[in-house]
Amino acid sequence: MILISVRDIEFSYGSKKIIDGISFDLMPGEILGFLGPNGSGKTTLIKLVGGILKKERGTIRIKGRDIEKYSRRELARIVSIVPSDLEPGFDFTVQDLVAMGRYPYIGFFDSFTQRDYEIIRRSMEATGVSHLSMNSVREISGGEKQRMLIARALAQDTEILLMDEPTSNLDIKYQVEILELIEGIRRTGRAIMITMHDVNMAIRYCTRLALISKGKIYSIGPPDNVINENSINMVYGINGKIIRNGDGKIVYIIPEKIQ
Amino acid sequence: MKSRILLVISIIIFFLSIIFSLGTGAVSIPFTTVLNRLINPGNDVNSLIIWQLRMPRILLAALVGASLTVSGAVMQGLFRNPLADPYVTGTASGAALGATLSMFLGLFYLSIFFLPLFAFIGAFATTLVVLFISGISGSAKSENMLLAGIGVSIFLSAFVSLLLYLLGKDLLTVFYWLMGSFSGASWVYVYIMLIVSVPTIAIIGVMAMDLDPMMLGEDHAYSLGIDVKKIRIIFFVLSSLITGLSVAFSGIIGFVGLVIPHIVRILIGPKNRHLIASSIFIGASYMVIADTISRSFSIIMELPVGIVTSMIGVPVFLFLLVKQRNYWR
Repeated sequence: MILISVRDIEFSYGSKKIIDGISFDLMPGEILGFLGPNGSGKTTLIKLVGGILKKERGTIRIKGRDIEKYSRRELARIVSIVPSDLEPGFDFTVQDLVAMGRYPYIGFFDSFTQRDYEIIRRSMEATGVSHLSMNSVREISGGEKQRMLIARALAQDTEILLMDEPTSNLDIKYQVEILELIEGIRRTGRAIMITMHDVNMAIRYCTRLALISKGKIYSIGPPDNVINENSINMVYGINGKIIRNGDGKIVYIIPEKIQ
Repeated sequence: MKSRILLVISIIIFFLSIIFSLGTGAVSIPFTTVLNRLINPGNDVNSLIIWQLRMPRILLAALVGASLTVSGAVMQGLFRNPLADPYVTGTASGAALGATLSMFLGLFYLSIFFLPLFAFIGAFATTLVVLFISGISGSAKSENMLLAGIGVSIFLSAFVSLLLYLLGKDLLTVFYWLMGSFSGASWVYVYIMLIVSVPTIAIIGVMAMDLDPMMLGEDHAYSLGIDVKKIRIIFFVLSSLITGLSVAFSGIIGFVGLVIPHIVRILIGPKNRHLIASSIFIGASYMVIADTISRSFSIIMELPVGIVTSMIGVPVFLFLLVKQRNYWR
């Protein structure tokens, strides 16, 4: 079953076209990674698919239904978004913040049920933030903050997760930790759309990759098909050496030194 | 748990502050007499003082205190700005212009009810203008709303200054009104507040949960199923409504709407359902006590209540702020 189907969407900020005819599908159990240089439109794409921004042309269908036919609350029960950063300003605790993942399910006159608390507890456990539950969201590290936001998405209990650069600004240990967590979520049959900076990490963890440049998809498919010297040069404008395994699988890309 | 305890305590304080205030003033009435006359009103002097002089004033102070505090809490959350207060939407300057205009046109001298009427119209009309401007200038983003509010406020203040300059001799009346006072309180005002503000505050309280995701920023709010634009407009209009009404009946009282929400957040955290619930009673009690002090301070002339609210409240707030220095980054 196709969870997300995007066809020929376009979007501009003012007169600048950011997304210029992008199409793709997203299936359950896959991690679709979007790679591209800064300003290529990755974050805008996440916002369009998540319904934060409205596309100007094309169609976005979520589970076969036009995205604009959903109310915000309905959409929030199917699609959760993990934004790239959080500047809370206010002193919420980690638990308060994860609990907000349940808000799309409770009405104005309801309170959390035992089941809600159970889901919140399990989400924090799965992401390893239980021990931080009473800490202020402002006292935790970058890696912990990402895990907390993923916990919130888990509490939201959606079939689709959109993640905007969950691993940038993290050192390599936390990058692996977060990506392992995401791989674990994929195995539960959920669909994940993710934007990333680090090409090597993307190759390792994404089941499919899309290279985007200037608001268009340059190529999309399994990492081994998409990443080659030519595509890296076309999209990023650098020369890279690609190291492959004996069986042809890509292991690493090394950018060429210019001077 | 903490929030329930605070709510219970603040409700108790609320009732105690009313009983205390009923007995305090130029004529002091013993506690037991107050309770007795509350249950069995008679025709004696004490009943008259309690029911006709003090009760409407105390209830008005309580309703205004609750309205301003709730409105301040909402504005701070909505704009994600610790400096936001009930007046950020231009209500204060709008009301000031309305009030000044009622004096300038001489209507104030026909009936004193023209002043609150004009003040309310000024306040609410300003809010709608700010909403409209921020809507066309940037799809009602919170920064646009704040900036539009500030811009319109400054513009209207210039007109107030102009009118005051032309008004000359009645300057003091307007000035005193601007500083805020409950001396004009009457049962009519109380009834209007009860009919309009109480249901509005109730709606805000019921919807308060939706403010939590708003406090994380727009993208987070969208992700958590909040219809950001709709929620922003609803809260903006509702809190401007109760602020406008408060200003119309009691002038521009500072501090309460800005600082009481911060104090409550320092005590129980930022979750808005709890924040709004406790703010209602703490704001109300605080205003009742401040007004009691302002009318008991001197027999010759009352102190403007705004002076009292700030002089007592600010040191308390600064103390809490120093104790919890991480409270707001």
